[in-house]
Amino acid sequence: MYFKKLILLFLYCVAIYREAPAQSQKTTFFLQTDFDQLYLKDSVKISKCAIYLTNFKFYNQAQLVFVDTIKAHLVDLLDPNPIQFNIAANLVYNRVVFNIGVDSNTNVAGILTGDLDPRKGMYWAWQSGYINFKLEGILNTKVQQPFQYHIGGYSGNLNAIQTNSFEVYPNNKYTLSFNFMPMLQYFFAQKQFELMSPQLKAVQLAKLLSENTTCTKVQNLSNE
Amino acid sequence: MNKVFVFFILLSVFSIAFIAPLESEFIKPKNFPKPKYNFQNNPFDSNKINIGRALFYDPILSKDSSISCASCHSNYTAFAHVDHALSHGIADRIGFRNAPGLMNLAWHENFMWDGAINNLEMQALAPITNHLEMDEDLNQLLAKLNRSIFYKNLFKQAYGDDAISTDRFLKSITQFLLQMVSANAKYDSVKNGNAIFTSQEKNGYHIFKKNCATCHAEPLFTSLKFEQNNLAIDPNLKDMGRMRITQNPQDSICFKVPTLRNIAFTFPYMHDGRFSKLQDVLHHYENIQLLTSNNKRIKIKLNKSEKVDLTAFLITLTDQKFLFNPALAFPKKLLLLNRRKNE
Ligand code: HEC
Ligand code: HEC
Repeated sequence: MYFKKLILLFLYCVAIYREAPAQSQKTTFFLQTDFDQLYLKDSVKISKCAIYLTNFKFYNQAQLVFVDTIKAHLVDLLDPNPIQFNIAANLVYNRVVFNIGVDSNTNVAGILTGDLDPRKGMYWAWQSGYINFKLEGILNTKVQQPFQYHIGGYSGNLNAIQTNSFEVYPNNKYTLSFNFMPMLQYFFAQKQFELMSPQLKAVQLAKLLSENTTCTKVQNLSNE
Repeated sequence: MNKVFVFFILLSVFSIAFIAPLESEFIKPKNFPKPKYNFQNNPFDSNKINIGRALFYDPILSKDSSISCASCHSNYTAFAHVDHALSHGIADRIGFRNAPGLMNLAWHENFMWDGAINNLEMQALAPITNHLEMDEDLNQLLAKLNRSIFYKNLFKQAYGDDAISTDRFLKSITQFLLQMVSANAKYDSVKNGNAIFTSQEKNGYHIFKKNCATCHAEPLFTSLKFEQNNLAIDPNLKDMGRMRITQNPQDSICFKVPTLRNIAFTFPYMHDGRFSKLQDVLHHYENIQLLTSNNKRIKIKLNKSEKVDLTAFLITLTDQKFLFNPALAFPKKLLLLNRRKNE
C-alpha cells in the first residue's frame, strides 16, 4: 500500500513537471464528403459514409514536429465533427501527413479502445481487421439497388492503407474533402454492388479515394 | 527539482519490484520457447481469469442464451468438439469447420484453421457474431452483461469499477484462454528427465521425428505454419484454407498445422473432421509425398508395425493433468451458486 501511494505521488510530480505552457494554437480540419451533386440528384442515396483518419503528423520541412496523441479518428462523414489539434503556440510547421485507414501494427495489436473499439462497427470479426472506410446506400434506377462497400485489409499486398500529405500552416482552418464519386462510378459501371472483404480491388479503390482527397484553406473565417 | 525527480524514479522502480510479483504470473513450461502473447498489455489477475472462465462457460454469450464457448470446446476433450465433424451453433446451425482443441494459445500468433484471427484477444468476437455459431451482436451482448448484477460485481472486483467494456470483456476471456497450457504429458516428463519411454514409444518417437516433426514441430507439436497434407478438397465445403485470407494461390488448401498434443482426445480430425479415428489419419499418411511451404519434400512410408509404434508415441502426448484440471472446468460455485444468489 505504502509503495503504491509513493508511486501515485511520483506520477503526480511528473504530471506537474510536464505540464506544458498554457498557450497553444489551434489547427482545425473540417471534414466533408464531396459528391457531385448533379450526378447524385435523387439517383443515389447515401446512408452510411464513415472513415478512419489516423496517425496525424505535422512536419516543418522534413522535420517531424508534432504527433497527434489520438491514434485514430473515426469520422462519420454524413455528420462530421471537425478534428482539432492543440499545438504549442511557437511551433512552426508547413505540412500535415495522415493515413486513410488503420495501419498494420494497430490491426494486430489486439483489443483497443476509443474509436478503435470494435463496437463502433468498423471491425471485421470473422477475419481480424479494421474497415478503413465504409460507403453504403441505395441506387435508384428502375429498381432500388442497395450497395455496400467496406474497404480494408492490412497485410501484404492486400494492405489498403493510404497516406495523404498536404501543405498547412499554424493557426488556420482547412477543409478536408473526400470525393467518393470516382469510386461509385467505377462500381456502378461494373454493376458491382458489394465489396466486403480485403482484396486487391479494395486496395485500388482506396487509392482512388486517396487521390481524390483535397485539403483547402477555409476562407473568411477569422482565427479564434 | 532534478534531484527530487531522480529520487522518485528510483523509489518507484524499487516499489514496482515489490508490487509486481503479487499478481499471478504466466509460468512458462521448462521445455517450451518464449510465448508470443504480449502479457504486458493484459497482466494476469485471478479476478480477471475468473471472469473469463465464467464467460467461457456461460451461454449468455449467444443470442438465445443456448450456447457457450464450452458447447463447442469441452474441457474433457482438450477443448475440442468431440463427435462433431463440423461444429454446431445456435438453432442447430452447422458451421463449416471442425472445432480444434484449445491449448498453448499463448504461443500462437494466428488463430483458426486459416489464421483469420490475428490476435487471441479478438478471437471471441468471431464465434459470438457468427450467424452459424452464437449469432449475437457485440453491442447487444455488452448491454446484456451490463444489466447483469452478477457480472457487474465481478468486473468491479477485477477492474475497480463495474463498467463492462469491449476491452475488459475480451481481455478477461483472453486471460482464461491463456490458462489452457498443456505441458504435462508423459512426453514432457521424459524430456524433463522424470520418466522414460517404453521401447515401443521410443521407436514411435524416431518415426515421428523422421516423418512428422517438420510440420508438427516439438515441443508444441505444431510449427504454427500453414501447410497442406494432401487431403482431397471436399466438393461441398470447397474450403481453400489460408488462401481465403491471403488470396495468394500459393496458400491454396493450406491450413494451420494442428497440435498433436492430447491427440487421442480431439477426434474427429482435420479441418473438416473427416477422420474419426487416429488409425484413419495414419492410413492417410502411410504412403504419401508432401511438399512444405518452404519447398521441403517429405516422403512418408509407414508399415503396419511402424503405425502401431507411432500411435504409442502419440499417446504419450496425452496430458491428464490438463484434461482434468479443475481450474479449467465449469466454475460450478461461481456460475451456479453465486449467480443465483445475485440475480
Ligand atoms: C458453434 C461452435 C463454436 C463456439 C460456440 C465457439 N467456437 Fe471456438 N471454434 C469453433 C470452430 C469451428 C473453430 C475453428 C474455426 C475455423 O478455423 O474457421 C474454433 C476456433 C477457436 C479458436 C482458435 C484455435 C486455434 O488453434 O486456432 C479459439 C481460441 C476459440 N475457438 C475460442 C472460442 C471461444 C473463446 C469461444 C466463446 C466466445 C468459442 N471459441 C466459441 C467452434 C466454436
Ligand atoms: C507437410 C506438413 C505435415 C507433415 C509432414 C505431417 N502433417 Fe499432420 N497435418 C498437417 C496439416 C496441415 C494438418 C491439418 C490439415 C487439414 O486439416 O486440412 C495435419 C493434421 C494432422 C492430424 C489431425 C489433427 C487434428 O487435430 O485434427 C494428425 C493426427 C496428424 N496431422 C498427424 C501427423 C503424423 C502422425 C504425421 C507423420 C506421419 C504428420 N501428421 C505429418 C501437416 C503435416
